[in-house]
Amino acid sequence: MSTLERIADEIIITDVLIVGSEGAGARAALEASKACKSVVVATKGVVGKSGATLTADADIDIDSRSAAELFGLPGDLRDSPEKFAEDMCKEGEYLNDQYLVKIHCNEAPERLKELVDWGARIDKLTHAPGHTYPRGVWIPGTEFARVLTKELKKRDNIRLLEHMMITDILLDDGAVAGACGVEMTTGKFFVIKAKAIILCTGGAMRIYPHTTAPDELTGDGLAMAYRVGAKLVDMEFPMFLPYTLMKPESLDGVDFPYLLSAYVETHALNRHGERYMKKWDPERLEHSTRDVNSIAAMVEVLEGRGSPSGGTYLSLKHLPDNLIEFSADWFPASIANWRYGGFNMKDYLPDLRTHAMETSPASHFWNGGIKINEFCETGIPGLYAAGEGTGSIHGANRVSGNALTMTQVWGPRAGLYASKYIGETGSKTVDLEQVMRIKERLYAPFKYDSGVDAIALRKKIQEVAWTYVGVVREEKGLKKALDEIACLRDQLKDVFVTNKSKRYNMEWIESMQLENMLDVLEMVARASLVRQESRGALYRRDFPKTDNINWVKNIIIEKKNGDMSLSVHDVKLDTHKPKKIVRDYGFKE
Amino acid sequence: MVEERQNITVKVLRQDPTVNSGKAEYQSYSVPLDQGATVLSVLRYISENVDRTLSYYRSCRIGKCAGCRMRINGKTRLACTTAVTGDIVIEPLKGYEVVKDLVVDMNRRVGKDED
Repeated sequence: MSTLERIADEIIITDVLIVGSEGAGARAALEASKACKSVVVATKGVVGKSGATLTADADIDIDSRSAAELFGLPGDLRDSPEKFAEDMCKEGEYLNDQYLVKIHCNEAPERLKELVDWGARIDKLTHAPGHTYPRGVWIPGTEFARVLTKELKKRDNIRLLEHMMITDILLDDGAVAGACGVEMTTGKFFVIKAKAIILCTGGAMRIYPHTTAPDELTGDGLAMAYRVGAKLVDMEFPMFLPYTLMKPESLDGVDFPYLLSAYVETHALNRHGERYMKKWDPERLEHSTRDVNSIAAMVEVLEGRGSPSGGTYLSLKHLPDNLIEFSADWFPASIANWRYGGFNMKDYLPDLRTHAMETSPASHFWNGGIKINEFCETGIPGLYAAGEGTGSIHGANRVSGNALTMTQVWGPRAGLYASKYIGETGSKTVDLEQVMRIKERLYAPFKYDSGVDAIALRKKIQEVAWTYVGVVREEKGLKKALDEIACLRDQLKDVFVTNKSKRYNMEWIESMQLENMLDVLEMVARASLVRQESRGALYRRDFPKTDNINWVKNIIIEKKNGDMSLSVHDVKLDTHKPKKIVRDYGFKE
Repeated sequence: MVEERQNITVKVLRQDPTVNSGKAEYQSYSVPLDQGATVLSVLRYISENVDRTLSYYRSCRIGKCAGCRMRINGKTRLACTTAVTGDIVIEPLKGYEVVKDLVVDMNRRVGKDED
């Protein structure tokens, strides 16, 4: 028995390992399986029953002309991939990589067609703010999950590892050799030898306590990539969605009020009953952009004018009772009869004829992430990334519907280029010492009967994130965050678990996510501190203007000599250029 | 106005195939009933504050992934969208191999039950 066999409970050998099984991960696997003999997909959850893809309501963007030509939808023939790219750069405040954006817009229609050919049903075409033409092809996220899961399971050379948390990437002389993981169901330590790894682990919305995203999105892929020396970009732009529920607590982060506000006139009030949006956007008020709505709400809370649970109020009280009652009859399918996602909202909300909802912005999407080139390469040979966890495509903020497009365009690209790489690279060896150290670290919490509580530490991380690195940021708070993060890092070595079983131990899984959350939080805090302006999804209260003279730049983060190193780079502007002015945040040209 | 906090009894069918020959046993917890509580929020409360050995699967928590399907007072429901207003009995989804407590292996059917 080799030494590796003595350390690892199980060893798997494959051509490519894909971490994440949903929108991007599934597409990457399907593409890679064409050329590779063996593909392994690992997910912390259950395939088709995890990740953010299925939570989308929602629209997937392709240019309006293609929507008409490929699918017979009522698209506008004046649109084009170029015009779609222009809108993306405008929304991204020109921090996008225009070369990648071009590919994104050009390839979107064909990639969507493949999904439809596999059986995805289109409901309609929608026109969301930020788009010049209607580009939102409406396919619910659950439909994505259904179709992609079906396709994954058809292929004999794709092995699905569920309840598998991949914890570390292993390198051999700087190139990918494999990964370590823990099988949550059994607690077994896995070593997966692979020539290439594709990270499709989504964003890190869960570093915040209020989020629309599932629990498992703790930025594992971002942190693992960072730790092996890959670059990350635009990490200061996590996106927040306004008007998510705070009460009841059981529905924290549910975005029902946000959807509601698109169909009936809702008023956002502070504790004084003031419609505070007039301070930010007197013309459009609550119909202002998502980021301005989020920031406005947060400022009310920070200045002591919030609701009891730390949010603001969203009210329908001004509407006549019969108008509110009638809405049950005509609301669109997603919220028809006040049912949303299986909730009968009337069971959970107060009587909206007399009471307001308590709402708060919540983290919703990750705009930045692992820096990739057009081949989804990260700079570490054999390490690829696709989907929400990558940067460079959306810049400082994304348009509605583009999250899904990102998965369908870049997932296949990663699969294609990773499989080409595998054909060209030699075999790799796994470092036994390194694997032993990883195993020690992962199982350490079982050794102690006292120390730092894993769940308490997770809550503390989320508290720091929300208070200092959230919707509204400023220098003092960001510096405080960095101090707190350093303190919390010190506590990692003392984390213990009270549950000593290895079998589906949720407490233990939490302990393994902590370092990832801290790594990501530190990246957001540091990048936010460096950027002395507000742009897209980042609002610096102490620098409330968008500065296109000095700040059309990307901040890149990299581990250098063990330290988190940041550098600032001019964006290579191409066709799409911003006006070289300084303007108030939130009011695009 | 002082609100009296009501406590409910939550009975969960626990099972670990590797312990005690996989014998399934009910365990009762007394938990405070919050306004708007769902079965998922109750499970979360128990597993974070009362018994860290309790296992259950959840992901989207908004009724879309169907990962939290289990039997609640005898009926198959999603934990995340099922309101809790009084005592409840929670058991794993029927017809699948139990991994631990309320976590089942959706790839391994057992018995002749279909759901």
